[in-house]
Amino acid sequence: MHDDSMRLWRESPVFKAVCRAEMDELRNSTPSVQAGIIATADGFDVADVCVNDTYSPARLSAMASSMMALAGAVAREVEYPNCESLIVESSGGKTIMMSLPGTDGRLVLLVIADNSASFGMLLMHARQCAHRIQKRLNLTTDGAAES
Amino acid sequence: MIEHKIIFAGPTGAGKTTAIGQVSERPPVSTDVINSDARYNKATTTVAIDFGEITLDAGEKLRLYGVPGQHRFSFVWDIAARGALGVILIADNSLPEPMKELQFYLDGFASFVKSGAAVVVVNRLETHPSPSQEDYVNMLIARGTPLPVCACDPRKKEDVLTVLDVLLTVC
Repeated sequence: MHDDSMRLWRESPVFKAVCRAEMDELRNSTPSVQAGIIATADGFDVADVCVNDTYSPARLSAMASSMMALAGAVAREVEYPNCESLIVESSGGKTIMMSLPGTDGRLVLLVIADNSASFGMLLMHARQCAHRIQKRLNLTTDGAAES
Repeated sequence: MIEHKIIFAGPTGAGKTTAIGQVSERPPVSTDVINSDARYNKATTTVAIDFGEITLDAGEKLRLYGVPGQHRFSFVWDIAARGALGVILIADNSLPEPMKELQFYLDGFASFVKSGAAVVVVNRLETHPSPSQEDYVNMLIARGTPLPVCACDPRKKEDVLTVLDVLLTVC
């Protein structure tokens, strides 16, 4: 009854490596990024790159999945078709959560950034990172299933 | 109008979402997503909250919050529990050690359990008669937190309404 695609991604070294490489690329292009985490829709961490080792990818993944599910419920309540992304603005920085395109909401990208970059640039680079992962995910889905 | 907030907690698959769905006047707010955890034989699982509403004959309005069962979502429990009148803890008697599993939720909602603002509900007692309702009562007395224990099928509206009635009586 459970869905195996998310578990296979979670357990695939190839898939994790691809996610980490693309999130590293995001960090290189946008130094304000403090962490990138890929989480499953049901709250497991798949891959992470964290500058700050006090962050817990496991806890943040559970929280990101809850937040995306709640945001999706808000969208449904007002009869919008879906929730693509969610932004937490704070004096300390910004947190962006977005559905990874092409995964039917099964994976979430969480980006944590300080306030040193403009928000527009941050959002654009985060989206580009998500699309790069999608592209490579399509290439590696079979590999992930075999790993 | 008097309004109360009630929490439904317990292990994954115990019937929290089902119970709220049975009694809510409007389709509940759902945050169920696809389940990838092979330990649970279910297609979807709640990752944030379920939310339903019900108005009782006396005009009281109950706001029903269901929280995820998995331990990794325990942060949701604290958020949902703020301002709640009481907690309904659903045990799943089909689990290998249902009373041991329940301890985690008794601890997670300790302030409600200690003050008596909680009811323990045992699901799947008909198909899995052991431990018995009396075993639960004795376990709760032994740990110093006596609470009412009800047998309940969360798929039956009358059962869920009875449990809500018991909780309102003790709170």
